[in-house]
Amino acid sequence: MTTLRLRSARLAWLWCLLYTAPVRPDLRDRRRDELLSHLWESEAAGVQGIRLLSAALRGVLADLSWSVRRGWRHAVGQPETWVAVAAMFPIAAWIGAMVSSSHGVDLVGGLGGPFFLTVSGATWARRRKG
Amino acid sequence: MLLPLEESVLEVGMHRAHRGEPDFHGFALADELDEGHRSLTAHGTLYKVLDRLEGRGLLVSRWETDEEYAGGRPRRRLYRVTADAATALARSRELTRVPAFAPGIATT
Repeated sequence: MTTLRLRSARLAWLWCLLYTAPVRPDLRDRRRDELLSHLWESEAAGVQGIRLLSAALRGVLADLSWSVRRGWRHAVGQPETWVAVAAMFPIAAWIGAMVSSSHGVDLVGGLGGPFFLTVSGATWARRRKG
Repeated sequence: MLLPLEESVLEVGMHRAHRGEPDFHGFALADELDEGHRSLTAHGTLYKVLDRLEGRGLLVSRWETDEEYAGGRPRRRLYRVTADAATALARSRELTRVPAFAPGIATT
């Protein structure tokens, strides 16, 4: 295996580990196993390193959009996501209060947190039920 | 309507089915799609298209069985076109066909 081919394959694999990280475990494992097979077949077929690198780089945007779509759907179903969103409201209200004296900022900060904690609880209950 | 690459994937899959080799894996598909070209289809684009076609019921996939698996290499994910693929491909081509210029038809 040439150095460039080896490095290209490693880069493609590392990138795959990265963009599949937020995705649901079954989809993540499937994509990783498929790419591992693809890289192995590329090596067995003697694909040039530069072609391998090019195939990996040109697919980055498609990888990202797949990851965001699949990852986002996965994240929506996780209670931890909504706890994180809820935690942002008091922080946003605190920052908002420093730059504005409007009561609207306090209201949004005061209501947003409990609302998303409720969403988190509902997501947790749904996951437990399902 | 299908994207050009989606049409090409279904076309390759249907040709393979006609040849009596209906199952194909990602690399074999990329290799066949790019026959005569200098660059391989991008990994991300290829697997996203396969994912989308499977979601639309135009492809089915499975991992190699123990009988098919030769060992000494990672297991392959095998795809094949479904019965709906030919209809979807024909319909997509019908929709994308550029209408022929026919003088005198247009009225003002």
